[in-house]
Amino acid sequence: MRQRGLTVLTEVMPERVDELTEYLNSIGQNIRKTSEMSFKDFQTIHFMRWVVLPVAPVVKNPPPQLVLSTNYDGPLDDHLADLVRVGGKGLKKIYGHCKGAPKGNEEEWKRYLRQHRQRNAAFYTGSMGRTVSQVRQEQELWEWMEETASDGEVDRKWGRKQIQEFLKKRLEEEPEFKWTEKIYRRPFLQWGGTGLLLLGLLAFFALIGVGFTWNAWITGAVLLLPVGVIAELWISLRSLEKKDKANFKPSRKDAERIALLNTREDYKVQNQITHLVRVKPGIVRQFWLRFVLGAINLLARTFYNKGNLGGIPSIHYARWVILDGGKRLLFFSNYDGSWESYLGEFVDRAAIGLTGVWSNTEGFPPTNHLIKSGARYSTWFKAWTRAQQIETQVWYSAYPTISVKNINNNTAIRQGIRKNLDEQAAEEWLQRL
Amino acid sequence: MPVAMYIVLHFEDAEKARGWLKTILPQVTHGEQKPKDLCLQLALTYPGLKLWGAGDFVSHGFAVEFMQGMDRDFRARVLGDNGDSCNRFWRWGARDQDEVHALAMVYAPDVPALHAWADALEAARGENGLVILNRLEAAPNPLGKEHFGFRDGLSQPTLKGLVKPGREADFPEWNVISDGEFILGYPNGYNLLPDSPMIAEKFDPDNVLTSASDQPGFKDFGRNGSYMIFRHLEQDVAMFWEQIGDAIRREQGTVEVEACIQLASKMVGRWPNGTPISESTTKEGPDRPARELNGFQYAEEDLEGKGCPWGSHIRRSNPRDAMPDNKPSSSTRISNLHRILRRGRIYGAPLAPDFDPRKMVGQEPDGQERGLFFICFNTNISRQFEFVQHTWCNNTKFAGLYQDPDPILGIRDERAEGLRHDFTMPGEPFRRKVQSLTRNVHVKGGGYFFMPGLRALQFLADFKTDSPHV
Repeated sequence: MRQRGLTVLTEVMPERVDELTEYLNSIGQNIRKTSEMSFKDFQTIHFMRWVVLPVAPVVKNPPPQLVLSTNYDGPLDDHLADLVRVGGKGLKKIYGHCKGAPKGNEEEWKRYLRQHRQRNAAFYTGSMGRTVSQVRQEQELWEWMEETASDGEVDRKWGRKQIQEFLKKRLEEEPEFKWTEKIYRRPFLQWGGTGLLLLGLLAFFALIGVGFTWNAWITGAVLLLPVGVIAELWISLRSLEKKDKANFKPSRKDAERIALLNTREDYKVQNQITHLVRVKPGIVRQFWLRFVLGAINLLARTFYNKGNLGGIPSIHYARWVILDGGKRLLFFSNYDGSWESYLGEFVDRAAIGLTGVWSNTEGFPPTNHLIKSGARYSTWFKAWTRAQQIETQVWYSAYPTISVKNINNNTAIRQGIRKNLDEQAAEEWLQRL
Repeated sequence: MPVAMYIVLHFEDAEKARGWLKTILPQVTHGEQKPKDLCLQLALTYPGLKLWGAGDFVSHGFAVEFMQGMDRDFRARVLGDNGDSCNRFWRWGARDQDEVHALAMVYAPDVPALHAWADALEAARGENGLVILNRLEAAPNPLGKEHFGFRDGLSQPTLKGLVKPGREADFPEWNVISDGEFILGYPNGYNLLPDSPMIAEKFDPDNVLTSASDQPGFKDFGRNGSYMIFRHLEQDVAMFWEQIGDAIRREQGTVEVEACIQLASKMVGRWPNGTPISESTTKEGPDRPARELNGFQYAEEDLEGKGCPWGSHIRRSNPRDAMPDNKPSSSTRISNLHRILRRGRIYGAPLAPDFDPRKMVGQEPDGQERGLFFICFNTNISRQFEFVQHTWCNNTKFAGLYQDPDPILGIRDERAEGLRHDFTMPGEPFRRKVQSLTRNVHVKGGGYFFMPGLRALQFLADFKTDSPHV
């Protein structure tokens, strides 16, 4: 089953912003126990958050906005039904602060959420194909395996194949693990809309091929035009980069903000970030921003689909959303470990991709040729990230103590346990315990 | 210097504090000096620096971690200071106690000289307006062991600036680290200057400080200084070996001493005499000098951790060329961005003579206090010290593990959350595991300090809050 990202953006009634923020905070600071919404009953949600976006004068009369983000399993309609049913009175109370919220039944609510959807410019998942219930079940399997392998029934002098077969036999005796009989295969690729784009490109080149045999001059012009435009955009970018000022200095106020953000960090294994920044003006920046995000989106589905995004192994779900017609860029991430380690991985392992995206936004450390320098100014990059990070009022994780690597290892254990492995395969499999 | 004492100071009066600093300044030892009789160094907390007026003249550049202090809730979460290590129970350094302003670090050739200096300081405390919050006396340690019985302090970075031209061959290249990782004012591992506290030029008319090379109009107050982390760590040695003994009894039915030594060595990553367990997986091997015990790597011989487990103390705190998810070349580069310079000392008498771990197995607790004054230097607390402590040592998910922190110093009290801490040893036919570890290293105090360079100390002593510029 496929995992997708829902982003819903609604206008908040200006006089209700503080009240809404306070209400969301009261839920968010008590996420496991709040009586407003029974988060544990959501069937389709991996991670979710509500964030009140700060108002910025990037458009005329900017309205205060609320953004909802979920990472969900399966068809959108089922997810919306889950959201509305389990969300219940809490959900209705939240959107009661927003313009145009419906009064009616489930269908109206689904329509409302659907209408306010925003497109994700890029979307990544670290455990592609696994549903929420699968993640939880496979963790239980690991726990069972952990105890069974440790409790002395297994003789370490046995052969590897013998040990695996013993565990398999024991597992077959457990009715609660009957679901492991079903063979699970990880999806190889997830194309989606990007597949269409590639098909389009293919068709474009096919047409050129046909065209050349018909009239080389016209076809040549058609071919060279986009190449010329891109070359021009590239040259313009370089001249813009040279004009960029190196003028970012963290202020004392930022230190206070960091302390505030800190109060909600590092309780469990996972952490989150919501990051909102203004895009630099002009069409050149717009083009390169969208180009790089498109490339990341494509790579995330086709190449970085085994739990590692450009060298970063700790991201569960991440997405970029372009807001206000390209004026602002929103980024959400759900990751394992501390902020410092996550940002460190950005700098040390994935600086190219990040610099490619955020070099088109205000205040980012100086870059050259779109992807060079930038995030490698590590102290500046980290201070800049903190300065654009905004508070996440409500953040929910369906499995807060499980890491991306755990999820992927659990799946591999599940895939191996029911198989008839040879000695070599059993050796590899046993090392996963 | 064989003996040392760390004196925790609080000042009641800013003016007297300045006067004291002036009188003490000639005694403070210069970094390149090799003193024979007595050596003094001063480290200050942020409240201490503010007492001396730094809040007025330093415009920006102090690390947030340093300004917040080690006892902040968030930093306590990062460091894992919960349960009985929570700063509420600390002997010194917590926020509801007398504020720590400075640490006088005294090193002497013998105990009488050390005590004489401390007694003189104590005798003059009235006239200097100072309160001595604690006298932390380190123990002589000719064997270089920590209290669990293992040789310690073997892995240290080589500072680039200390490698003399022509002697490069003596220092393995992977272990040579940019000076700016440990000393402010020099290029760091990214070849950039680390953030350093800056002073507008107008505050320094006498030109005591050096101009900041990257920020026109500012003087670099941090230059030649460093951030110093101090952790007062008490070790429950009898309990540590009792846990090891219990684990072996569960596995084998009896407590066999060599099996205990081997299990504890797996946890540390070295044998008691310092031999890396990834080099010698089944036996301790002969004693060797310290410089021969730090040249090893993991990627080629022990990538899977069947010798030195991923979860062991030394493999976590410096993964060398085997960072999880990295090729050896990028691994060395990245792990070297998280190095610290350690200068700690032990305190208290050993549980068994000569720190011999084979005699500690089965020993009853003797009720005596012993442990380590952990001290390290770095220029970016969150990227270096806190990163090592949090992302590597305390992280139960390190290298794809599930519920395994550093078995020596990463264990926390998480029973309230129903969580368990284990130790996993990859092996044949599958991993060995020790379950439900409890904490044997307890935090009793500590703080984030700034150790100023001599010019900065001179500046502090001379600075007048009533000067016309303030």
